[in-house]
Amino acid sequence: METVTLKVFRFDPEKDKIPYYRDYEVPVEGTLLNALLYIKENLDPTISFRAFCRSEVCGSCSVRVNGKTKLACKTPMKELVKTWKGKPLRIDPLNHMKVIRDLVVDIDKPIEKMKTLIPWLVPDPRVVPSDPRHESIIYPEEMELYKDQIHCMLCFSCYSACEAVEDNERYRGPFAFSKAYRFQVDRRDIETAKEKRIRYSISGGLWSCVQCQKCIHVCPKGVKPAEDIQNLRGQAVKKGFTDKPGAKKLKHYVDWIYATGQINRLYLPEEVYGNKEARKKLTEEYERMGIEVWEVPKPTKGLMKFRDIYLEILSREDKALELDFSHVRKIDKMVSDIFKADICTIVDRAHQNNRKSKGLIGKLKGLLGGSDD
Amino acid sequence: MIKVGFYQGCCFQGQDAHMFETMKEVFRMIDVELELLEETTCCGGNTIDEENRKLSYAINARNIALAEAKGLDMLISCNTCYMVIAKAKNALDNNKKLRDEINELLKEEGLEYRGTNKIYHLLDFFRDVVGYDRIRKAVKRPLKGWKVGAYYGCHVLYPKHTAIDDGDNPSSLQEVLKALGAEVIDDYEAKDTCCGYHAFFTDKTMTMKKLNRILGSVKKAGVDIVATPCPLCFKSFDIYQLQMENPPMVPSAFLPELMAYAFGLDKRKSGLGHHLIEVKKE
Amino acid sequence: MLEYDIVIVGGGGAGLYAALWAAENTILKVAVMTKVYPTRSHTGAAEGGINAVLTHSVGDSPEAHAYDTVKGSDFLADQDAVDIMCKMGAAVIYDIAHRGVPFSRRPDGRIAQRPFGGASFPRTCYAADKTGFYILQTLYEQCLKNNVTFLNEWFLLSIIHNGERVEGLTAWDIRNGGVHLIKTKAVILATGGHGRVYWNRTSNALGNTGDGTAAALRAGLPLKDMEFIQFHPTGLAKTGILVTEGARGEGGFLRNKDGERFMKRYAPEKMELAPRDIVARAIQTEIDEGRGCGPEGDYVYLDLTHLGEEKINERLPQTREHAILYEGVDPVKEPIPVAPTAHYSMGGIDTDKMGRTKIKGLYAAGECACISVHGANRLGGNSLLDILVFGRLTALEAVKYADEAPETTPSLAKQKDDERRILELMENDGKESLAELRRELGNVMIKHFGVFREESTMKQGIEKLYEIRERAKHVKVHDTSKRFNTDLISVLEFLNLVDLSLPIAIAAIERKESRGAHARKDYPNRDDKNFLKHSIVTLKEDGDYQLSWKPVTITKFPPEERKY
Ligand SMILES: Cc1cc2nc3c(=O)[nH]c(=O)nc-3n(C[C@H](O)[C@H](O)[C@H](O)COP(=O)(O)OP(=O)(O)OC[C@H]3O[C@@H](n4cnc5c(N)ncnc54)[C@H](O)[C@@H]3O)c2cc1C
Ligand code: SF4
Ligand code: SF4
Ligand code: FES
Repeated sequence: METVTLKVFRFDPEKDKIPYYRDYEVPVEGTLLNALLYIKENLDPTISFRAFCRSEVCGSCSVRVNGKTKLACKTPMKELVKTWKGKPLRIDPLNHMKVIRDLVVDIDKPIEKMKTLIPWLVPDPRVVPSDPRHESIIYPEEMELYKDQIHCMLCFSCYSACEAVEDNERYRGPFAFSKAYRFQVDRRDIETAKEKRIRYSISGGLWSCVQCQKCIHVCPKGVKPAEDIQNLRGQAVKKGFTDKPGAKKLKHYVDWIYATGQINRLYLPEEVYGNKEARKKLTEEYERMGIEVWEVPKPTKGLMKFRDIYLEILSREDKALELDFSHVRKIDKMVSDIFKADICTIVDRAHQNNRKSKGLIGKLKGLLGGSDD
Repeated sequence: MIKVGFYQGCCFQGQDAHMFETMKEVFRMIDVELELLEETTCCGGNTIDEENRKLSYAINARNIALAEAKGLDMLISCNTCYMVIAKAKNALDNNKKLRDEINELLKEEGLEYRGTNKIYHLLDFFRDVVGYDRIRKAVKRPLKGWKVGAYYGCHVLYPKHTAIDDGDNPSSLQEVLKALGAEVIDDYEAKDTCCGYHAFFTDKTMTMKKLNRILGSVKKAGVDIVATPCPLCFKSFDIYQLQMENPPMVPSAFLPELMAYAFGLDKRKSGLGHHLIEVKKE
Repeated sequence: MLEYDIVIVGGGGAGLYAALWAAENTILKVAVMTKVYPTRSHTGAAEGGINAVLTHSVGDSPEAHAYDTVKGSDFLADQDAVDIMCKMGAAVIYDIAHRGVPFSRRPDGRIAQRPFGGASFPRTCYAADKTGFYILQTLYEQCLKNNVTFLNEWFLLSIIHNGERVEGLTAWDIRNGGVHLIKTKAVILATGGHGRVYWNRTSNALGNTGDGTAAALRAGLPLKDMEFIQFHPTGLAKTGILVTEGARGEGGFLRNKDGERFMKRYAPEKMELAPRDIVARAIQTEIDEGRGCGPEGDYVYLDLTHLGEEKINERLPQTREHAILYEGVDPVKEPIPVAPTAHYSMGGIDTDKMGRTKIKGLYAAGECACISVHGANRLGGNSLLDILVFGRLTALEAVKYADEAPETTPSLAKQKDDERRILELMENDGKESLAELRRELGNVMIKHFGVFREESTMKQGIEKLYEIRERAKHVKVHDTSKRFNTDLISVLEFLNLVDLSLPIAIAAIERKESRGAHARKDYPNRDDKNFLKHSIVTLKEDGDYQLSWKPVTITKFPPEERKY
């Protein structure tokens, strides 16, 4: 029978001064949980880990394999051996939580953190009847809004993998934000609770998430915390919490992309942090190296149509920010000052240049919008 | 000659416009013609999603449609652009209602998202289309004696459904670096730590802490330079590093720059000469 | 010594709902003690749904629900209890829906209901295919909201009473180690089922070991109807993990080793869609008569290959994933090996219709209790209703009781006892291996007290069980650490299984009839004249068991033949 070595993290604070690894030879068969149970039954009954349902519903059995968070009962041994090309598999407890013993970690802290985000329904009496004999009506479409979030089984895989948890003690954790967001989009939840969740999310590190996507990657249940964090950020900005850098960054993106199809990295420090020096310094630095610096991106020919689409979507959808047209006009002016023409003319010129230089008229016919077509 | 549509995003214009010329040159040397997808716009940088997710999908449906209209697959050289566009593609391919709604808007510009063409990031393009052999053959100045730290960045590895390599134990970057003749260092402690780029304008301290981890760790591993296939990670290393309290001054490179240099271009032309943190290694 | 007014042991659906109703209705000190974090309890594995007659259930009525339940129980359920449960259905569903359970909805926004086995109307409310999971998560959220005190990862050892009233509990703090004495006026046992008696032939979680039931037995409380164990027809062959009924619903075939769709011989019309117990018996018959598949001939095939990859991926993604993960078989390409698997414990701690035991202040609710609303056979979707209804009722009873009950003074003796017992477990000769003996117990149970039962094999079985009980004294806890000692927990759980195996066996052998899930080859018919009664097993001072009988409460529905 094919076997592989598991190097299992062992630590009993009662007995061991420092953690150590112990090697176990296990069959390459079934899941990682089977392998751990195999060790416990046949090789070493003193090893401690958590497991309960053995069929990926209870969230007990997350561990790390060579540093990567895995739900043990959902991870085939064959797959591990393939991924790590036969190398020994180092099994560690989850990260970011205190080790109680061996592979068992203290999950009270993330639960406490989650609690601060009001991860429960606070019924709005106007929607939820106070008489328990009456039903509150919910349409199937409404439930689409939180269909992924409700799958969270509190396995803390994402908490273990999270970059923000790693470097921000206060950070509530990916799952906690997903749990919170689930109620933010539930019509039955009262507005005041929604407001509080946003407040507490912000103080709980909402803007510290680095958007690394690891939480989505490791979640065994298809929850997408990183995206819920984006959703919550949007709600925060919409609710008027616009003083944070992240909110200003969003404004930069919304306005500049609409205006020019691009963001403008030269202006970001100024618009977000009020740092006017940065643009100057960077420009000087590049010029010193002989690089030409364009202060604004050159508009391309599809720009006007792009703007139409952009506006159309924003007019239909729920959004965080309104487009700031005075800002857009300012950008337009910068563009026309630099390119010595108004924005429409520049776009028209882009069309013509394109034809001349590439002679693609035939090919692109029909693709091109704009008056000169 | 393979022809592919090149999506520039925000990283190949303005002060970075010269990088596109380098890219074109590098790809020409491995028999790939890059056709710039000029009318494309910013992918939204994974930030427009905060404004509205559908806006992000629409912008990128348009971006992809522009490549499809030319009958070209799309090559994306930025991890974040890649992920954002791949997520949009995923959503559009799996949701007819969304696709129809957005196509209705694209119609005005004579565009349609069909989902017929592929999107690639540099790494899977090298692996699946170009082949490492061709890269190896193009090398004129092997990076012999260069200890290069392989740094992937997050958005090509996570999340699973858009990843271009095995997020747990990836190999596509090492392969390219090996083909260039470099000595690859891929087991430093912070190899999986996020570069922090996207937090720079939301919570700067996060970026600084991330850089501290990564750069401290590569330094400890004794690398000459950190190489990344993501222009944003590169910016984080080259620009934001200078904002650290005690910058360790670890040089870094955007992967195509190293390729250019190994393919025989000089330091300036390869882009390696334009870094804020000087690349001294010859 | 920890002190509470009410301790709820168990953080599954029954325990959490009890906690919630207690928390909202009293200022007494209430704590939930659970050996795993609440959301990990087995209630989270319930997929199918929860039965209740709602205001928009056209044509249906609580009486119809009660009738179906009683008929399903093969008339062994106590009809007064069934009546309470069915009448409270809507109230419970609306209550948990108002608290956030994401029930699937009809286009008009009302809670959707679907047909389920044994029900005369579509009355099973569901939340996608994870009903129990969502209920458990929602109840936990609500408990957090109400600041319920949790003793997470504490293991109940013993119940302390003075013959009249409950006085307290002893428990092992899993995280830090140590036997604790807990003083409390009232205790609600909600520790779930004991399917693990069948060790690797059960759909139950690793920890469904009937700890509360065993503790009650040891504390002198009677257990009721223990012989009734519901077998689900399709558990994965290697692990017993459930393959949902949906797999047959979508058109899966059952085949024996000759490739024959054998259901045509058992239920020619309904074929694979016949009721659970009929399918389970059919499969078992095939296996027993040598038409099983595999080297041991101990399973049959559930064949989905003809459904095609697309349909399997779309309708049965979980089934495919589980078959690949846990059985190493891809149902798109190969048939899935399945066999009946122990699924639900109808029997349990004997209580009256309000969940009261014979000891004042001691209540039982949920799968560990036998109230009895399921009688000889539980209908799908009735258990989730049972745990909620009686979780809530026992909470209100306990609040009422604890409000007025006198202070208790639990003696230290039990704590000393338990400490000694644990020490002994760590110090015995260790001649027997836990893993082996546990497997043996499971094998004996499935072989001798499985889907079919018969005097002669059961007799042999009982002997083996007594033998296992003796050998179990030599199972040693090798891990001597106090901290998160899972070796100790496993041994304690195993000993509980041993304690519960004999009551099952003894009641089974004495029930000389076939009723509900209890199918005897030697007595193939129901015998209302002699056995329309509950079996009761108690533990005597000398360590042996005593069997007695107790009448069934019959109100509206006189026994009739159970025919579908
Ligand atoms: C796979 C499967 C599917 C099912 N599907 C359905 C369905 O669709 N519909 C339906 O109605 N029923 C279904 N059932 C049955 C139903 O899920 C259970 O009967 C029900 O959930 C039991 O709930 P409970 O609260 O009594 O116990 P559990 O949920 O099992 O909880 C028991 C609790 O007791 C605690 N506990 C146990 N021992 C100790 C101890 N020694 N010390 C401290 N705490 C302890 C545990 O930690 C746990 O919190 C299904 C069962 C299974 C196995
Ligand atoms: S995306 Fe944000 S929440 Fe998710 S793991 Fe990364 S830092 Fe944590
Ligand atoms: S979001 Fe996913 S990974 Fe995180 S705790 Fe919930 S189920 Fe686990
Ligand atoms: S054991 Fe329950 S999720 Fe793995």
